[in-house]
Amino acid sequence: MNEELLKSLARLSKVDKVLSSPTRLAIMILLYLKTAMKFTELQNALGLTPGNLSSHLKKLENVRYIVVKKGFLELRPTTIAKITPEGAIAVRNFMKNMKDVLKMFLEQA
Amino acid sequence: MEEKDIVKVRKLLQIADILDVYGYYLLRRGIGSFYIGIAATVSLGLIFFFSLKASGSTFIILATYVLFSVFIFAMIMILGKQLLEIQPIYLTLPAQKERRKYRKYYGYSWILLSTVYLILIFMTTVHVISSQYSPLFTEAFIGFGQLGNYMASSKSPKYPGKVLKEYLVFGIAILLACPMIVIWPEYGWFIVTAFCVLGSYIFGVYIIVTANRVLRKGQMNE
Repeated sequence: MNEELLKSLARLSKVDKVLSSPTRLAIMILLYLKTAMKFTELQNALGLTPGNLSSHLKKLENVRYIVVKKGFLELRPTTIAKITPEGAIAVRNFMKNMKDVLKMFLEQA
Repeated sequence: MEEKDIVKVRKLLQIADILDVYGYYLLRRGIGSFYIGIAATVSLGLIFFFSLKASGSTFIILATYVLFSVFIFAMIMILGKQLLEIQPIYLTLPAQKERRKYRKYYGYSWILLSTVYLILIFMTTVHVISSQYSPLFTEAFIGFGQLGNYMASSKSPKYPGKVLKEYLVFGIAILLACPMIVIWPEYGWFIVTAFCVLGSYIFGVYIIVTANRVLRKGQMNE
């Protein structure tokens, strides 16, 4: 791996520290594609424990990439996470940067 | 680097490619849904109008009208909910910011056409022009409106899945029906309904169905 590639990878992790976590990126990608998802849907899709998912959602909520709403659906308490416009922009930008790095990676393979 | 690493990187690239164009896919679906919504609203209006007209007729006919109205109303609600849900994604697209600059062109063409249309319809109402021309004016209004959309869309920058030629084809198809209204004025409103309302449904469905191409090709321009 050459120096330029390593630098690009380091830069990518600094671009958005919140999205540098693979789990949070996966949550954001899912929300980008589905706009809103139930807590249980996210948990099943990513195979996370409730505590782990809660902590990731909290971090995403703190930077306003998502909004978490609690309510009742068919008389059952439900938590729904929804992507915000800021979150949509962030995930798109992060993936664009990642794409550039991945292309560089493939060129050198 | 091992082969399995390269496969993983390629998969990640595929995800990144889909995310790149996903918003444009939603945007195209949004435009299609908008046309279906317009057609549904006009249909709803027509159903109520004819329901009132047919109020002297049998119970079954009225019940059918009511059921139809409920069906279309439900469809509008579903479409409206879908549009509201996908808002955060497609409103933040780079092309949307660009589109906003050019949105005025859509507005200008529709305002101009609406003004001319309303004047002509007013003239038919006060019998300055024969009322048999009303369907012709309506058909021309919708047809030229689509051509206006085509011109406004052609001015905005290119992006995957942009609706352009579709407006032109739809506009020409509507305008081609104008001579039919002149030849058979007694079927004027029927022709307008068939070409404009049904046409909008077909147009909307076509736009939605072809939205998948944006995801498949990634670069479906025009």
